[in-house]
Amino acid sequence: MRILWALARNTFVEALRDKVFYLLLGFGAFLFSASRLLAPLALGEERRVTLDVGLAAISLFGCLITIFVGHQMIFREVERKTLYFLFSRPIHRAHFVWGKFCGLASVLAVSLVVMGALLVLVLKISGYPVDASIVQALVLAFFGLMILAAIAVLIAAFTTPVLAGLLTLAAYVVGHGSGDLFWLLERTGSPGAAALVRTLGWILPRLDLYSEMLPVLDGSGWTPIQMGWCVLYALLYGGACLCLATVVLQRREFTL
Amino acid sequence: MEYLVALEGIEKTYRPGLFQKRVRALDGLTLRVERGECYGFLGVNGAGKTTTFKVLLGLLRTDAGRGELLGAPLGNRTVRRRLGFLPELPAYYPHLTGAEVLRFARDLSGVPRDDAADRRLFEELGIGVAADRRVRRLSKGQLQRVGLAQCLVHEPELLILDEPMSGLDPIARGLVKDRLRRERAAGRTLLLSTHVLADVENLVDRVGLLASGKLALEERADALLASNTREVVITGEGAVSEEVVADIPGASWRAGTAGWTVSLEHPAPLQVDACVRRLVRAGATIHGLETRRDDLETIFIDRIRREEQA
Repeated sequence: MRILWALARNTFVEALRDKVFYLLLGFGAFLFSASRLLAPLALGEERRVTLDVGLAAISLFGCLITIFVGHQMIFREVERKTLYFLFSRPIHRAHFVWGKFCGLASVLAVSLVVMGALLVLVLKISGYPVDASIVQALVLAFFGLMILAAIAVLIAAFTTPVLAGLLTLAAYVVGHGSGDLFWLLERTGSPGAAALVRTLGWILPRLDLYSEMLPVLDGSGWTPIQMGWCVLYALLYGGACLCLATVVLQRREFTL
Repeated sequence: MEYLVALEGIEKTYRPGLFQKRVRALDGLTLRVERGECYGFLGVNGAGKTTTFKVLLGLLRTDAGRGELLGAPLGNRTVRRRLGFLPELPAYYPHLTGAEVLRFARDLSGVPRDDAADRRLFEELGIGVAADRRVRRLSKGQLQRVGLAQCLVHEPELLILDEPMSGLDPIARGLVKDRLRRERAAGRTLLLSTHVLADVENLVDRVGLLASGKLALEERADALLASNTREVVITGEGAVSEEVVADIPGASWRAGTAGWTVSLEHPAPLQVDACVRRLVRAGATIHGLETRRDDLETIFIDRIRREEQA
């Protein structure tokens, strides 16, 4: 546990030093500008637009932070030879993978708290009500980003930084479109398509589940069971990705 | 006899890519390092020294052969708690200070933090300033010593050091050498690679030369050092002429701007002593005596050539 904590803390501090949180400033500026520019055009739906833009921006900036921190997290250790420092000690490859993931998860957690607070601040300043569904949406966004972070670690375990960045972005895009893809395939009525849906259902990340807007826009929120399923799915999918990343690293040789 | 490093018939070939030539880095390497000894691991660039260390750390898998590190099969994670490793050109996280590197090293090795001991260690190695300075602002020599410190903090049984004197100035070299002597006196086992004879003089018990991925020669260091003096140069002044040393085999006299120089090539045992006595008796004042030796690689390569010719 101490090893895991030490690795996670190092990843977190390194991300801070890489000035990843500058992205949060970008988020703040974007949010305030968007709410000021778009809300007046919404004709009575100003709160809805602010929330919609705010939550979408949180998801997008979370994705950017994941890519920024995750794309070279393993490559860099190899490139600058710090792996010698780590692997000459009693560290299992799983420690390394989970330590990196926990560090990235901490960065995302802090970012989400800051972005969520900024969103609430904008809503308050604009005089719109703030309810518990917004907190639920932020919690779900966090677990959605956990899935993306686990995918980023898995991809980083076997590829170059540029490819890792592109593939993580692709996973984000595909993950958010996977619900629509399944919906379309199911409606074709073909048995082949149904089999394809079942197969893809196991492979593609269902990130769309974590970015639903309706429950927060109408204030109805999510039931505890819905939240529980989403959290469970994130834990299982993320856990599977990290186990796979451990296997990949276990088999990988480091020529340095 | 207990071996902390035991490699037998290790083979490793790098496969860089589909259309690139394979590189055979280790070709049946057999290497044994006894508990408590200091082993000098020598070899020219590309001989396979670093590959051997990577195999020992479990960063590379072997194609053939078997090995043990600290009594456990290669790749065993838990025994690395008893291992300290200094890579050639060590690199650490640039955002950490020297003290933070040691704290991180302690956390990863599962030993309690001890900032006071870490600072003492830095002071001993002559880099007290590195404790509060970020790694990216340290010089090469300072970084090298931070590297040595990080592999000592958990008091390992075995130290594997890849070119430990690399990038060090003469003072730092002395400090590091003293520290390594103390580690050896404390019963630790050292496996170190180097090119420089002076680095391993009075430190290593055995030396082995790695050539083309296998151990070409292995010998006790004291025997080797006794046989490799190329030249002894005596400088001094006073009424000494060429005739004084004329009958000493291999000796030559040369006048200099401030005195003279006597060179003894490949001197036999006691020949230096006899020469100095004769010079003093003739009224000379000796200013200096310098022993010039071949570096270990040269000696070993020379030995290999001689053996091939024989």
